[in-house]
Amino acid sequence: MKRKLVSVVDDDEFVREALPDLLRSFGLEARPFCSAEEFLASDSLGRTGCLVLDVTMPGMTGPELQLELARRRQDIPIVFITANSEPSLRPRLLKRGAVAYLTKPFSETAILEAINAALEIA
Amino acid sequence: MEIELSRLVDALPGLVWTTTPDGTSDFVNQRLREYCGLTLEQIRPNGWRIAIHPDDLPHAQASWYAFVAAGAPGDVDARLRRFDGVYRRFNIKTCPVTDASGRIVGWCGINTDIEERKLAEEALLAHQLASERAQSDAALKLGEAQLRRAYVHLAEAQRLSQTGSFTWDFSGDELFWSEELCRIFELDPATQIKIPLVRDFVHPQDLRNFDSTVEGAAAGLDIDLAYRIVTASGAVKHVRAVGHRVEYNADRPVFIGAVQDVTAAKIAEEALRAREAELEQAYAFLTEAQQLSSTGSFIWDALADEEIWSDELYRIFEVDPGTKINLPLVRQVVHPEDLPRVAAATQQAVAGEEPDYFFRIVTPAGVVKHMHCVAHRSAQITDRPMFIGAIQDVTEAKLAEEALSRARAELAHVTRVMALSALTASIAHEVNQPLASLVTNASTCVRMLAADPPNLEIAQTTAQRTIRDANRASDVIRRLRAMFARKQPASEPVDLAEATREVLALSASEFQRAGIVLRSDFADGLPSVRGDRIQLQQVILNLVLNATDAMRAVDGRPRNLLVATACDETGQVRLSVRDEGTGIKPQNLTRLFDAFYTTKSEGMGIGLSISRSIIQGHDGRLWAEANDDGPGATFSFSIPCDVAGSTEPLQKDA
Repeated sequence: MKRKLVSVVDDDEFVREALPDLLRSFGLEARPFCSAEEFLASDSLGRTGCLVLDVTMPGMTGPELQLELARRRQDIPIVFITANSEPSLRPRLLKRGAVAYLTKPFSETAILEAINAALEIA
Repeated sequence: MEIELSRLVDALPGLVWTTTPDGTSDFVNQRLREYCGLTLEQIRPNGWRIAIHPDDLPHAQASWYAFVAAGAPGDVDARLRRFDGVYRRFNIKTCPVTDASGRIVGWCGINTDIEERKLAEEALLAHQLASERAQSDAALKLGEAQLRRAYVHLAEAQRLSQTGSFTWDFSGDELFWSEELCRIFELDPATQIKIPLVRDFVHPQDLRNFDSTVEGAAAGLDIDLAYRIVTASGAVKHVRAVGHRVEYNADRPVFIGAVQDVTAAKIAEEALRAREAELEQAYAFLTEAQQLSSTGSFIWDALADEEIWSDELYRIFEVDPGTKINLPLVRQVVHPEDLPRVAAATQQAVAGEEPDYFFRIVTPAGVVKHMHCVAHRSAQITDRPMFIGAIQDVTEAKLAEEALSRARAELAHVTRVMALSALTASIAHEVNQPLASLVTNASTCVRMLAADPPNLEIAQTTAQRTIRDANRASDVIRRLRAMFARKQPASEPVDLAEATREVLALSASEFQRAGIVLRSDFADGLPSVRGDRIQLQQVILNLVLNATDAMRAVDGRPRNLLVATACDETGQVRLSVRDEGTGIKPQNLTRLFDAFYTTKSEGMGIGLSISRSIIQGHDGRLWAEANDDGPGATFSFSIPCDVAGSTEPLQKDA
């Protein structure tokens, strides 16, 4: 059975508030987490079919969580979102297996396409 | 002569005689004959001569012939020998005897014995002479005493006036010196003085004058010479010699004169001259100093409203030197906008304060000059308020200051822009974050409205969120625009904690990116400060970015940043930024604030220098210190709280 859960990890509470609502309007199951640590500690790891992950966060950052999941052999497709436009980071993260790297603000189409692609893989 | 007549004549009680018209003796009466002890025959015709004293004879005989020749009566005194050989003095009177026709027929004469009378006269004369001599003796004695007294007085006067006198016989070179003159020259009064000896005393530098004066004296010129002598004791004395030739001996030039020791006067004069010269020099220095420093001085009599100005002050004010100065005239020159300030300072001065203020003047040529005036009440004149002050023309400094201030503001702006450009990523993050949720919320809203049936409840919620998100984004832009703005430095009440919060908000993601753990500690009820909000935020931004940079390389321990505000004991508001970074080497502590000093590879080294000048512009100070309880450093600034504004509600800017 395909994992359907979309986990949103972002330290910005407004993104945590807005994005799950939008995903739900498309019939997706979405759950927000305020930090990488909270996500790792949750019971959602195994159910998550797509991880929407903020790059810059206090504590463990998005890329660090990516490495941590790889280390734990948790193969969750990741869609990175970031408010910083650092082009150097993008190819590095994609090379490590990320499905997409989206720069905030992103369109509804862009995020949906990326999430759907991720869910396909998962 | 008839017998009767002869007997009569003989009987006359006088010695009577007659002669022929030619003077030949023809009769001598008996009494005369008896006196002489001569007979008539012995006497006639010219034997009478033997009766006359040989010494008197020439005169008597000459007189007699003169009478006869003239045919006129006469008399002559002569000594006649008595029969016993004793001579007695007689007065011999004679007159011619004439006939009816007036023809001289003979001479008659009478000899009167005047011996007794003469003796008496002589005795009287002798007495008179004796008494006269006695008188003149007494007078002489008196004169001597007076002379002696006068001499003592003279000597005393010479001593007191330190003036010696001399006489100088030029031909024999004989000098006579008074005691005082010897004393002046420190010479034994017994010394025989000649010009070569005097010359030995003369100061070498005065020898030429001395010699030419001696030469002039030889030509009869008066002596008037001031020269120096060196005495045996080595003392140098200033003397002045005056003398003139006395005229009573034409072929022997003799000078009489005086020599005064004027050393004391000379020294006093020299001291006076030195003091005068000193004073003159001091005045010249002062004038020059005033010119160099463009500073004029004045004295103001507040009650009389009279001002005395130095030359330089006239020059600065471009007022004709010598113009009478008073307040109305000053008011004409002062810039109209600064009149209240000058009036206030004048009031202050009268009230006993010491004004120190700036004002502008407008010269007659229409040039505006900046003046700095300091004055204080003179302590020397106590009976009325008298002020002494200085006014400096600070126009150049003021213009330079304004130019510097403009340049500094320009530089501050540039560094601010540079600092903000370092925050570009952070700023983009701050703006993109709300935009991201805004777009997402808008999408959800559209979808809810398009649903069948529309979910209006969620549509409304998400629509409201878009408004909130848009406001969040615009807040960030507003803060940024203020930081980037280039405007005149303002002086307004600033809530330092609020200003700091804004800077920290802009920098938040920068801290995040650098892994900084920010902690802020803002004291409650902090008084506002007066100043330029943007400039102060620039300083705060500079400090927190420096702190961030300092901790970038830190590994293995937390990168803690503490930003705190506090009000210190002296009524100053302090802001400190404490990092736990690499710290500052003690030798670098003092150089940190120098322009173009940097320890960063990409820094220009002007951030702290600009920050310090901004804080100093707020009458505050900025300093750095190494943390004493751990790694890192703390940068702090303190500025005076805004006394006027602290009680008013803070002005919120739009």
